[in-house]
Amino acid sequence: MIKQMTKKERVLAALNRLEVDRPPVANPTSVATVEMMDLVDAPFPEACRSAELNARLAATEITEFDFDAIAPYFSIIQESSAIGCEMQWEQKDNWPTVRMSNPIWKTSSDIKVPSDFLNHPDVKVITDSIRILKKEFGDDVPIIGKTMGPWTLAYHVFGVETFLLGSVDNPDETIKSLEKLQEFTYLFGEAQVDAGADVLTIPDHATGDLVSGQYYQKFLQDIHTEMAQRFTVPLILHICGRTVDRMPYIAETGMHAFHFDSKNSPQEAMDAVNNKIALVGNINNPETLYSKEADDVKKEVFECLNAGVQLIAPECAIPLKTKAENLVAINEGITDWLAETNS
Amino acid sequence: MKVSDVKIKFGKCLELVSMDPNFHNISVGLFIKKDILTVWSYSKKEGVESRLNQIRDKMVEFGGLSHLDEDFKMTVPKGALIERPLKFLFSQCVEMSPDKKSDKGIITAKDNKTKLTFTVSGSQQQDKYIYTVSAEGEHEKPGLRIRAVVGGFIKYGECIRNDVDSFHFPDNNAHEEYVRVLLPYARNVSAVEQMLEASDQAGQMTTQSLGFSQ
Repeated sequence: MIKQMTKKERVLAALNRLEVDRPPVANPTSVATVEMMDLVDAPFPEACRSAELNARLAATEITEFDFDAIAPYFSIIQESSAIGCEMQWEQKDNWPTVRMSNPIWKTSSDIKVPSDFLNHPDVKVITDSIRILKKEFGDDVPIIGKTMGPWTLAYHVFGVETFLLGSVDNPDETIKSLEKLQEFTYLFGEAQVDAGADVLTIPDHATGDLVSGQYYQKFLQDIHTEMAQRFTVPLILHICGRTVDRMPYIAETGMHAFHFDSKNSPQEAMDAVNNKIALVGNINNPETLYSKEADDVKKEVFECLNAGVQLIAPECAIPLKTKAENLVAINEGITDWLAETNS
Repeated sequence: MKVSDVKIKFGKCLELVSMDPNFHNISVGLFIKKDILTVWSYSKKEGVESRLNQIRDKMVEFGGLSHLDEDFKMTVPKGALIERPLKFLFSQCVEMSPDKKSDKGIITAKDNKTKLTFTVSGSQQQDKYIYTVSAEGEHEKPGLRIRAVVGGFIKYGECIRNDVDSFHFPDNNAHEEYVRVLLPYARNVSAVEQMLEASDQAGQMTTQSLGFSQ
């Protein structure tokens, strides 16, 4: 019988594929919803741009849902805004996005880190929020920071189509761009660790819809391997879509965990990574969490736990209109599963 | 009130509107526990309680629901819970001008694909209350459009086809309140489906919404 763990002990043990007192719930991306924005009066887009509001909204993961971690970086655009990309901040019920149809750079030689990058308000909001949360929750609750990988940043600064076509026409130039762009990943990630982040998520959208597993191996595996060596905290890689073809490569990077999409079944994902990396996921967002019932959520929690997935989470940032009761059902599903398997 | 308390007190959330255009863009939910419907928001803005009661009163006025002598609460029409029209009604009542008055006259709506005007009228026929759709105006084959409207009632109202131009509800009872709410949606199912899909997509973070897919 394992003694009761703190949330931080639980999450870190699961990331290291060690035994836990109960499987943790930890979404490495976001659990912001419109209902929680109202509860704590921290609506989008302001909650993405004010550290105080950001921390208030992020804290609902603990105060309302009793999850095991807090992830205060809700979107995927904070660095890109600081770099100078054209932004669409949207309103409360939609995600802020980068206008990728108006890219800011054309080649790798354009890539330059602005001298005030870490002091830009849209970057500082996250580091300041982490400090606030650390002060509020102490060291028992892990904070998961987030810093975009170079592939995602490349979409934002070059545009998706231009960048992908370039990877076919001039792969050396693509590699050069990725190597330069990863400087942002390190700068922002290290700043979050300095502020108190215990874990970092690295979204790097070499998604199943756009590129193959071989592409991942060719362009990103080495970059991610180096990140796993250089960062001083556990890393969770996040890639959307059908990714089972690249999971064996991801499992070799040395990252602690992979946050996977519901387009991959829990069992096939566990088989693909062959116990070389922990898995986080993979409750379906657009159908199950958004529009189905609590029992359907619990069913997916059971599927993940039966397969051996180490950390239970929605597959990605949850839809902003997700009903709170379906988020409550995640922890209830774990409790039910424990009761069933221990009886 | 905490999330866990809301679930215990009000039941499950049937519908959630992200932004109330008539009150500080707060989110508002319609909850159901047994036959009791509750309008609720997590917002703590000043005046929110009267706004929730105002939405509840609009649902009573426009949807024929029964007002309960308790804040935010009402009961489903004649004990017949049909989710989709209640969801439509709730969204309408949140989004409509607070000054809007309900129409108590005949149930009618202009077709938005032709120059026809549809009317729905009901009558008791043996053990069933049957609703018949008729149309006035210029059109070569009004029967096709009437058939489509009946299809809309079947899709959104869980109704059962009685004939090409008529239908009844599953409990065989009269439900003017549901018919009135549903007619504007039943007349153009494809447009409503597009609207619902667009609404579902808003706020989703997917490879499509991020622009990271083909």
